[in-house]
This record gives sequence, structure tokens and C-alpha cells, in this order.
Amino acid sequence: MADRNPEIAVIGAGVAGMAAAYRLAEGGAQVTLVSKDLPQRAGSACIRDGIAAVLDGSSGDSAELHASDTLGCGDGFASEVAVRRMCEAAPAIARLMFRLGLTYDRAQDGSPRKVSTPGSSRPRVMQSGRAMGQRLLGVLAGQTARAQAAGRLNAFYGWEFLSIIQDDDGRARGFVAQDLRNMEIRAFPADAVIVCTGGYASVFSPSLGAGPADGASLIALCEQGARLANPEFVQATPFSVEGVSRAVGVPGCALSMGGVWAERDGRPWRFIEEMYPERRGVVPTYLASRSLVRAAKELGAEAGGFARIDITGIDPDRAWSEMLPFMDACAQAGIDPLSEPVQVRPAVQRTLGGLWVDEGHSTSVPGLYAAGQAACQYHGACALGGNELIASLHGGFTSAASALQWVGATGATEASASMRSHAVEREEDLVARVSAKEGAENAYAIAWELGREMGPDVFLEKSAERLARAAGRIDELAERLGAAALIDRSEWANAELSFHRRLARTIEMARLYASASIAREESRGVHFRAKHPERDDSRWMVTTVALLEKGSFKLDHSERVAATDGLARRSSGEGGGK
Amino acid sequence: MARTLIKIRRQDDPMDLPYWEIFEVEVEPGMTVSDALEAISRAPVTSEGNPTTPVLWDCSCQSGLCGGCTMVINGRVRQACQVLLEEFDGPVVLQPLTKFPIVRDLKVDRGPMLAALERHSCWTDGAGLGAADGPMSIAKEEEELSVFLDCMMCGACSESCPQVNPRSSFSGAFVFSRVIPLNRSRAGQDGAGQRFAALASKGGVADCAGAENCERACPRGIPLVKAQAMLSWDTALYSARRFFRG
Repeated sequence: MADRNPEIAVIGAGVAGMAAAYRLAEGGAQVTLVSKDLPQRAGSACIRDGIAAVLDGSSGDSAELHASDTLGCGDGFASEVAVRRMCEAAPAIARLMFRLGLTYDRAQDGSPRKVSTPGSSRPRVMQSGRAMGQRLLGVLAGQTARAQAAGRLNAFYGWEFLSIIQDDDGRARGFVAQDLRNMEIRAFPADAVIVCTGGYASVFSPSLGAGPADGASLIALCEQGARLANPEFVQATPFSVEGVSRAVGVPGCALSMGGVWAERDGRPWRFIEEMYPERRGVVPTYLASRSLVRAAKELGAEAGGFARIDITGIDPDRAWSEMLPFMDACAQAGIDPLSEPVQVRPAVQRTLGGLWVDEGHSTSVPGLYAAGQAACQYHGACALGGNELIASLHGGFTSAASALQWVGATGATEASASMRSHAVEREEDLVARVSAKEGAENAYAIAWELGREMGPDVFLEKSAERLARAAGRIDELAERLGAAALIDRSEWANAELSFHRRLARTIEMARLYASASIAREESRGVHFRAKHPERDDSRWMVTTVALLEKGSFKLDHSERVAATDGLARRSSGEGGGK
Repeated sequence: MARTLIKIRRQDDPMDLPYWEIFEVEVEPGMTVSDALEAISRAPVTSEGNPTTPVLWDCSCQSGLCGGCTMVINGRVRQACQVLLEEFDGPVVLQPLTKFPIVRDLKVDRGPMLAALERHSCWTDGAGLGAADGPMSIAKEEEELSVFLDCMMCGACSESCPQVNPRSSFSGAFVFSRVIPLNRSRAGQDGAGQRFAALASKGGVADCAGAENCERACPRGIPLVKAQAMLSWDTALYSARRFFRG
């Protein structure tokens, strides 16, 4: 083994990436952190909800219950081992974030205030002001700066990750990135690489995710042999408030305090309560989505825009203190939910599929790890409110620990000069191919049309016919992108070049979503097939594994989801346990 | 359908001269400045019919939460994704932030903000994951100060501040926003001395001249004037204590 500290690269400076970088620096590694933009711009900023962690046994809560709720909301579709580990680690992580300077909203007695989310059997989500995601980014960015000041980390902001460097055995030996100002393409050697580039929510429209979540990096890694898991699982909230520019999600506590109704025969119809009376209107996101689709059919309406969330009867002080993120978002959009019911519509919240990883966050490529929304782990078929940020933090820490251990065991060796130059040449060739395109098509217009195609009738309730039509349209858009010449020929800060390169892969992601959605003939969590409304554990308790072979994706359905005891088989709603 | 003119100050690279281009955009209900910039990218042709390149600007969350799209809109520093075109009767004029190095068009380099936070040691030394600690308790003051954690590093405070200029090393009020919750909480006590030392030196808290533009410009409504007052006092106390201790 070389006589030096492990050198480990982290791609993406969101919550997961910075958590990984923190853990690596603490563990004695030399870290290279690369990100297209500053940490504050990461997709994590869009997560307004808090973090779920069981700090003590009050109200009979336990890590066991947290795990059981997580698996229940995920419709029994996540690795039970991984979920248990996350729920057991959550309290220490929440405390660490507090020590790093994150303040939680306070209860009367000075302890963090805990709120409920739909699907949680106990209140255990701690919030922080209007938008915890952005606060967490600021706190972690401080730690990144601290590691940098101590000489343990080098941050490259304004660089776009392109691909990994691989040796002859396929092992990750570093990565290649492009400086988005002078457009230099450079190889960065590393002993292991952790990918935290976010999900693919912005493939869909409307979406609550940040623009950079376009899935392009995930597809780029598939081109190098990584596998994707469960691309068909895309979580939409049926309740988003159309605000300025993007929609904002209605938090779970608003649903439990108020109610959702639609007008039927001139009177409010509380369709969720009617469809799930035993749950008193508080249901996991995916059941709310299904009830919305059914209600729309009954009313002969389109799925968007007919339902209203009503919190008009709630005490304003309580609303502002317990639902600050939601109230703030409404205020931003110029809406006052306390004075009149707010019209809501469906929007994609996050994606659940991602790079296939094991419980230690190793991908199928040796030396390559993934965490955050870039990885498929913990959430199963539907993410429980409050688990998003804790999963990113825990995933970041876990991937870092695994990478450190692996580099310690296998030894740190330099990527050879030829490996590096080969990797750079590969990317320079791609730039040359993009630049050589001819034709009058406009890539931005194609991206816009893709978003219009991937609307609620593609992500909320899925039919094979509609998905096949989308696939046809996606093929057409891919062809048109081939006829889109670069307008901008500048060699300085050419964002259009980067946009073209990414869009080709985003289109591939959309295509993969459509084919994986068609293949899964059952309904499970957020994946809702109109003609196959039941969960089918006999055939479909399997992970969809997507891998590129000779330029096209193959879907493999042979990997069963490990359910080691009764928890994962817990019935969580309709279709469950049948 | 209503149409509006969007006039944009463009610049191809930092060494080049800036120039203006005017675009005509069809205004749809609820359309923001950032939506308009996207529309321009889909058909980058000026109002005079001349084909041009797509306009570069920073954009990420489209929800007013990331600070990326901060720019000068009709003379005021604002977030492009939070400004509706309906607001304006006449043309909309877009310019990049002026207090940061320009990259291209409306995109600037806010890296100097990170450097300022590093100069002020804006982090805690909070022991790692496994460290033992007692039950978490949050003091009332700590919760009140948590509003300062909302800073998203957009640069609006620096842009609006007359003291942030080429002849001064003052970076802007965002530094106060980061320092306060650290220096006034238990978590940040270890590094408080270092932070005060930085604030007491050139470019520190005394370089604020009290214009108070920052608080009006802050899109997250952070009470930056109060922050400056608190830190002035704390820094003076720190300096006095150091003086008497020798």
C-alpha cells in the first residue's frame, strides 16, 4: 500500500456529498469535492421538511418503530437491514448536526419540537425554520470550509462531473470534470469515488426538484458499467400549491391538521377520508395520489387542479409555528391558506430509483459509491416524510466509511498517466461530437417539450398505452436533438455545450423510466398501474435492475428484495400483504 | 396575448466589453423573469430579428430557496425566479450583480463570499459523529437566532451595500448572518475568539457604515441591521477584554 492517506473524491456538494466529505476528512482521507455550483445551490435546498430521528423513548417511540414506519410507507420494498441501520443511526446524526450549529425548532421545555408526517406512527420529525434543507447546506458548507482550511479537502466549485476514470479491471480510479468557465477538461485521480449528484426529478413536469436533478450523471455512469435500480419509482405529491415559478409541496402536518376536499354537487367531498376511513384522512403520499386519481375519474376531471386543501379553521399561531415551511411558501406565492382553501395539483417531489447500491452504498462498479438521491436505498416504493434528509446524511456517512475501509483493504494506487489521458480524450471526443452536430433544432426547446410530455398522466397513474406513446415521443425528441447544432461557439463559459451533453442523457433517463414503468405490471407505492391495481409480491417483490448493453438498456428482474422478518411484509395499505 | 421587452446587459467574457440586447417575450400568466430567460433560450433571437446566443444566468431551485438567480432587475437586486413579469408596465431591464467578478452575461462568481466565510472561520469544531453528549436542549435565544441560518449566499446584501467596493475589504452583511448563530450558541464557542479577531480587523464589522440597504435587499428577510448591532457590541467587548488582559 502506498505510504500516503487515502485520496477519495466526492461528486456533488449537496447534503449527501458534504456529509460524505465531512466523514472522509474526519477519517483521515484527503478529499476532492467537485460541484457544478456552490453548495447553497444544491437540490437539497428544495427540501423544506425536517429530519426524522428518535431521540428518546417519549410517546413510546423507538428506532424499531421508525424502521417499521419507513418500511410500511415504502410498501415493503426497501432493504430492511439498511433501513434499520439508518433509523438506529438517526439520533446520533441529529445530535451531530446540532453540535455543528443547526438549531431545531423548540418545544416549550427546550427540547426539539417533533411533528408527525403521514405514515409516521409517532411525532418524530424535527424542523428548522422555513426550509431545513438550505440551513443544513449552510452548516455543512461550514464544515467543508473547515476541512479545506485544515488542508484536508480541495473544493472545485464550478466544475461539472463528466465520468469516472477506470482501470483495466473497471475499478474507479478518479474522475474527469470540466471547468465551466474556461472549459478545461481535467482528470482527477482518486482511490475511490462517491457520487452524490442527485436524482432525476426534473425529467418530469411539474416538479418540485431543482433544475440540476436531471439524471444525466446517473446515465453517464451507466455508460461506464454502473447499474440503476428501480427507475420507475418516482414520488409525486398530489398536493402541491402552484406558486411563483415552481410548485411547492403541502407538508404532511398541513394534511393532518386540515383536510382535502373536492367540490361535488356543490358540496365539499372529502374523498380521502371516504376512501380510507380508518386513517382519518392522513395517508401516505402514494395512497393520497391514488385517491386523487379515483376522485378525478368520478368527477370526470383531470387529475390536476380540482382538489383543495383546507386549513381555514386552524388557529393562525399554530399554523405559523407548526407549518412554517408551508406557510412561508404560500406567502412567497401570494396565497393565504388561512383565509380560503388552496387549490392543489400533483407534482413530482423526488425520485426513488437511482444507482444500484448495497447496504454499504457500494455501486456495482468497484471503488464507486453513491448516496443521496443518486442512490436507490431506504425509501422503497415511497419515502416517508422526514426521511429524505436523514437518508442523505446517513447515506453520505455510510458511503464514506465504506470507501475508507475499501481503500484501506485494497490499497491506494495511482491512476496511470495513460488511464488519465484516455479518460480525458474520451470526453474531448464527446465534446467534438456535440460540436459537430448540424441542424436547426434548439436543445432548450426539446428539453421543454420533454417536460410537457412527462406530465401527471405519465407519473401519477400509469397506463401501458400512455407510456408507450411517451416512449415514441422520447425517441422522436432524441432524434431531433441529433439535429440541434450548437448556437454558441464560444470557448468560454459555454453552458449550451454542457446543456446538450446533459440533455442527451436526460432523454435516455426518460426512456428508461417509461420502459421500466411498462414492465412492472403491479401497483406498489408510488408506482400505480391502472390495469394492475394490486401489489403482487409473488411476481414483483424484485428490484428492477437496469444496465446498458451495446447502447441500450436491459431490464433485469431477478433480484429479490430481502425481507428478513415480518416488518417488511407489514401491510401498509391497499394491496399490501394480499 | 401581451408581449414585453426584456433588455439584457450581456458580456461574452470578463475581459470583453458589455453590450445590450433586447428580446420580445410573450407574457403568460404567472411568468417570472427566470421563465422569460428560459423562453429566450428556446428561441434566441433579438427583437430586431437577429439570431444570438442563449443568455447565461445561474438558476437552480426555481423556488426562491437557493439564491442562484440573484440579479439586478429594473435597478433592484432580486431573485429572477420570484419576480413576475406582470409586475412591470414597461420593459424589464436585467443586469448582472456588480459587486462580484463577472463570468458571462448575468452569471457572476460568488466564490469571494466563500473566501470571506473562511476568513471568519464560520464553522464549529463540534466533535465527530461518535462524541458523547447529553440530551439536546435549545435555548430560547438560540431559536430566535436561528433565522440567521436562512442565509443562502445570494449576494443581495453585498450588492446593495455602498461599503462593498473596490477600495474596501468589507464583504457584506452575510458574514454577520453566519457568525452570530455560531458566536452566540454553545456549539460555536470554541472558535468565537477567532471570529471576533477577524471582525475586529480591516474589512470587519466596523467597516459597516449603517446604510441598512442589506436588510431591505435580503430575500430571506434576515434582520441584518440587528445582526450588525449585536456583533459591533460583542466585538467591542471582545476587544476590550483582550486589551485589559494584555
